[in-house]
Amino acid sequence: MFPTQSLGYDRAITVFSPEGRLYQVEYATEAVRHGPLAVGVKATDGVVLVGEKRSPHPLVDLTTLKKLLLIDDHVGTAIAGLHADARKLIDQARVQAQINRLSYDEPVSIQSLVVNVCDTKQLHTQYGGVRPFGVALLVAGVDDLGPQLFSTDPSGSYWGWKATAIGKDSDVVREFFAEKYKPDINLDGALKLAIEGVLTPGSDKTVSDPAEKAKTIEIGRVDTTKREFKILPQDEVEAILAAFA
Amino acid sequence: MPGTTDAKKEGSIDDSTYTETYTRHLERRLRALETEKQILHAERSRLEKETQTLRTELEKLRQSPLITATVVEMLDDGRAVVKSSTGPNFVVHVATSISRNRLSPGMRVALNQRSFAVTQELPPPRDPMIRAMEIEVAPDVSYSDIGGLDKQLDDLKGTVELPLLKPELFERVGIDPPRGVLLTGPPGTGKTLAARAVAHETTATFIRVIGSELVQKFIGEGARLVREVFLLAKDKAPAIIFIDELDAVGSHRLDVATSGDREVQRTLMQLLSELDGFASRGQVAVIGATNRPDILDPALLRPGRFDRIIDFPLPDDKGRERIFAIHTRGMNIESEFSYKPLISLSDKMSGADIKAVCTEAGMFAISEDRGCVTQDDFLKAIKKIQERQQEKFPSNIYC
Repeated sequence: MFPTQSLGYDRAITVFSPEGRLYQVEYATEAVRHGPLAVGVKATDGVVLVGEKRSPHPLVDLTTLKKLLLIDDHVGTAIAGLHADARKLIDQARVQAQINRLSYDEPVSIQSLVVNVCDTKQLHTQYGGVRPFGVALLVAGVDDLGPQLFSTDPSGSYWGWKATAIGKDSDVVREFFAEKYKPDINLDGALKLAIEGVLTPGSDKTVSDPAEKAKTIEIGRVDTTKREFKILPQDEVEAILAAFA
Repeated sequence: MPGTTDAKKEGSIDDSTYTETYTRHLERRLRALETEKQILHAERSRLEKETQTLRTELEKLRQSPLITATVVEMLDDGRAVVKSSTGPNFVVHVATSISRNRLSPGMRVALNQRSFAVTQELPPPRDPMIRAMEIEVAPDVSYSDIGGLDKQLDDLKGTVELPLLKPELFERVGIDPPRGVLLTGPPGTGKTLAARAVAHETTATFIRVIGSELVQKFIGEGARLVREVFLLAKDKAPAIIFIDELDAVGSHRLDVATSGDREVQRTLMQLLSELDGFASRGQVAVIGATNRPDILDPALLRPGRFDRIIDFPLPDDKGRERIFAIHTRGMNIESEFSYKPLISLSDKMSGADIKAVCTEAGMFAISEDRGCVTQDDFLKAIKKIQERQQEKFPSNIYC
């Protein structure tokens, strides 16, 4: 719950502590935990991303607050952490995707996109005067290697996942996935598992009001046949959530 | 005598009747005087006794004081070398009433003022502060008053009570029982409460030390206190020592530290040595409690010192329900009361927070001059406590 005494080694990003830790990076990971939950589940025929939004004020138009964003036709991402930091990274990722199309005349491979984003994140942990990005990304897409799901963290590390979660209570959801995930899951099953995962941390395991809940949940999916990442509109989300009432 | 003169003057009364009355009168006088005499005798003996007691008291108060000293060594011819509290060492005779083998180096004795002879032995010096740490009156918290911590209490009982009450179980298996437990967790989750319940339920001597009490003004005092506490516990074994707020002394030993910090570290080292040093601890169990297990020195956490680390987490739904039930046991609540909405609303609240909610609900009822607490009072109380708890950081920038 509390970090160990850092004794001044946490003031600058470029300074290691005697135990070999970069406290600023760890604090940035802590910032990610303040963001609402986002989960991703990989299926044999696609990937699903589900994100939960938190409204800052009742008067806010939640459609302008995006949890899931498109990077290219075949790649989408869910963010958790500082929204402004995420925006910058995604802009860069989008540009990188287009550069790849221009240079190689083909959609960017998910891994190389993730590597590019992570290189930027790492840059911000090694130079003075900048701070790390306080955001984690779940990148989901389909390329020639099949469906891919990656997560990135503020240090610039990335991992490929079968199912994972980022943001608030993500450890609880990851435990849930560890029990329930099956490698032969299909896209519909993955969607069901993802939504169950999103509902796990709360005390209510069912959706009492699908219409209300649909305002704060975003669902995105990409399948291997069409290779198009689609962020579902609110009415489709409501229909899917109604099954969990 | 007046009677006689009047009678003779008048000459009307017969002489014999007169003598009779007069004798009777005298007899009555005599009896009265005798009684008076007895009363005065009794009074006199009482006063004599009082004088006697006062005299002995005076004697006692007038007696010259004895000097305390510590025996340094015993000489072969019966004399002793003692170090008096006034300073110098002396070679003195020992009173015959004290047998030689009773006096060993380090014992405290009393010396006659003039000749400095050893007149009597004294009990070993005990810091009065240490004696105050022993709990005489057990707190009235039983295990049934604690909700949502069944697993933790079982763990605690198994480690602390079982080896003290049934050592034969451990002898049969052939192991040394674990006797150190560390209770960790966020504030308000029932660590000190669990220790109080242990104190209530166990028949072993319960000694409570607060970590910051071991931080003393003079160098070496803290270490001395630690040593005294363990000595007291060994004296009164089987005993349980409860060290609350362990992180006051137990924090990580660092290289960069002020001289004050280094002294606290030395106290910690004494504690480490007492917990699992050269001499065995005996039938003494140690319970530690802290909010910050992360800053504790790793030497404290190794097995052999604090064998078990029991985490007291924030209560889950079932635990919160139990805690609500316990705190509302004595409360006067309306009949249509239901715990369900309270349980979901009180997410992330600790046991202490829930107690505060019940108190606040009662306060709301009192402020409206009611004797009965309603569901609404509880809902208002939860909101009030949550507002207090709210972390005021801008969660809006996180998405």
